[in-house]
Amino acid sequence: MGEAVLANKLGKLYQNGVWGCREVSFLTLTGETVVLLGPNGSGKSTTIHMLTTLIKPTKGEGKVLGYDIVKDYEKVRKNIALMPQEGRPDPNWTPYEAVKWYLVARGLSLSSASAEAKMWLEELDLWEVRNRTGWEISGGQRRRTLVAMVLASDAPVIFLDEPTDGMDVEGKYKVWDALRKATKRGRSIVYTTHNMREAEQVASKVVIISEGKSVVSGPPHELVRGLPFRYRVRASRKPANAEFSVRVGETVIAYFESFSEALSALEEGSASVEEVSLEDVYLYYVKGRGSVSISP
Amino acid sequence: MFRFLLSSIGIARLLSAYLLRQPGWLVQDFMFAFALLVILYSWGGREGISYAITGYIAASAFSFGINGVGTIIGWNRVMRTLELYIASPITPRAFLIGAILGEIPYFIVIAILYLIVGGVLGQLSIVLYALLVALLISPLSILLGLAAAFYVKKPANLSAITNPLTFIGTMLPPVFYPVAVLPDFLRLPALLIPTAAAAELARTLAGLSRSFDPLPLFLIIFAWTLLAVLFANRVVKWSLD
Repeated sequence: MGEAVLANKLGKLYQNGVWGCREVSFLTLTGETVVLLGPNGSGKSTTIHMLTTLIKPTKGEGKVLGYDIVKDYEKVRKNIALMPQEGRPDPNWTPYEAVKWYLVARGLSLSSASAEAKMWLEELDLWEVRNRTGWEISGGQRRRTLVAMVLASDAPVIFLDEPTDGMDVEGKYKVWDALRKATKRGRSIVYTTHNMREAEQVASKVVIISEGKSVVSGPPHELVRGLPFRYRVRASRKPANAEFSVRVGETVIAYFESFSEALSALEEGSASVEEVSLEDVYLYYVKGRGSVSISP
Repeated sequence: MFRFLLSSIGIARLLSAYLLRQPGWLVQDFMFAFALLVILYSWGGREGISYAITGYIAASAFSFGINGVGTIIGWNRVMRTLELYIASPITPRAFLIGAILGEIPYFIVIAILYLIVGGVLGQLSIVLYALLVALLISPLSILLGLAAAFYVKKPANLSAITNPLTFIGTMLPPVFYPVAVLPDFLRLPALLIPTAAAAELARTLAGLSRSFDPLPLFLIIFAWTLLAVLFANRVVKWSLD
């Protein structure tokens, strides 16, 4: 598999003196979906903005299909499509004309644009409403229209910044299925979300970003396996025998290597002992002690 | 070239979707242009119509860039769809041409109306001179609209800037009335306003006014266009910051 997207210690210092991100590194191979996970303001969108040539990095380097994101930005743009965070399609567009004319604007012929529009609108369950304007369809359908616009493009590398934000469960599943179809066709995807379940569903690789730095990356199951504990319990305060714990609001999540220890920490009213998941990887690296610099 | 044209058409189609869904905007402009003919005819007969034609075509050309092209780009900044276009093979030139094509129906509606009226009343040459001047002033208005769309920090407020600018630039200076009615000391300063220079140039070319030579009027528009090029060049960024 070839190298689709490379971020090597990318950092961005804004004019107001705030670092949008400090040092983000990851590699996306052809056909992979890399999910950037991190809290609000951690630098996910800034990273996407740098890689899509919207902003210039202050430090580090970025490449898309081997093209430098600053020096070769025009070549980068020829090979990418971006669904911006909080992007809203014009409510006067119908899904069909939005996808079709966006593809024409990107340089596809009318016939290819029409065919691709049909295929991706069907894939995203929008064909039935293809001729309704944005005023007449739901918010989730409008978001899916934007997803259809970028997935239908001929771009080999696609960036989606929180694409399923505000979508219902069914809509999210449609998007995830469409992403799988896109990667099967050789597309490479860089994706941001706050939703752990979503990351588990779509990611070939997850990159966790905390305070502007990528702190860990790898396939979701490997990251989960790499945690130094297997079980978790929710409690009101840290159990004495917990190997590690994090406080999330009023709740303490305590971690244990063995099931029996976890069981002994159960408080009255606690739901159950749970196996660790990607959410715990996130909590471990973002709120906990896990903090290591990584290279791509 | 064909690919460039196709790209511009795609952009034009996307940006003008609101006109297809709400053609009332075009009807409003048509009715205003028509009403102006009636009003000025009732005050000044055929000469009044000549002033309506030259004034309104110059004013529309000015509004076309600032209010039309500028606002549509600002709207795309608000909706964040501009990012969708930047992070793509769509070139800034194709986008701009598309934005202009998308807004041009407004101008076509007025041009057709005035060409018909001019033809019927034997004032076709006035309309043609006015359209020629509209072509001269359009680059200035487009550049100003473009610059405003990128310069304004909060694009949602763009219309609050471009609307008054257009209104003040077209209603107060001698656009719909001859510069000759102003006191001597005000005439030259008034004609330094590009819309007034454009309207006066159209009237001069059409033989309605003899106050000024066409060359200085042309130079005023040219100088403004040059300034707008410098300003736009400084503030318009097809991103990378």
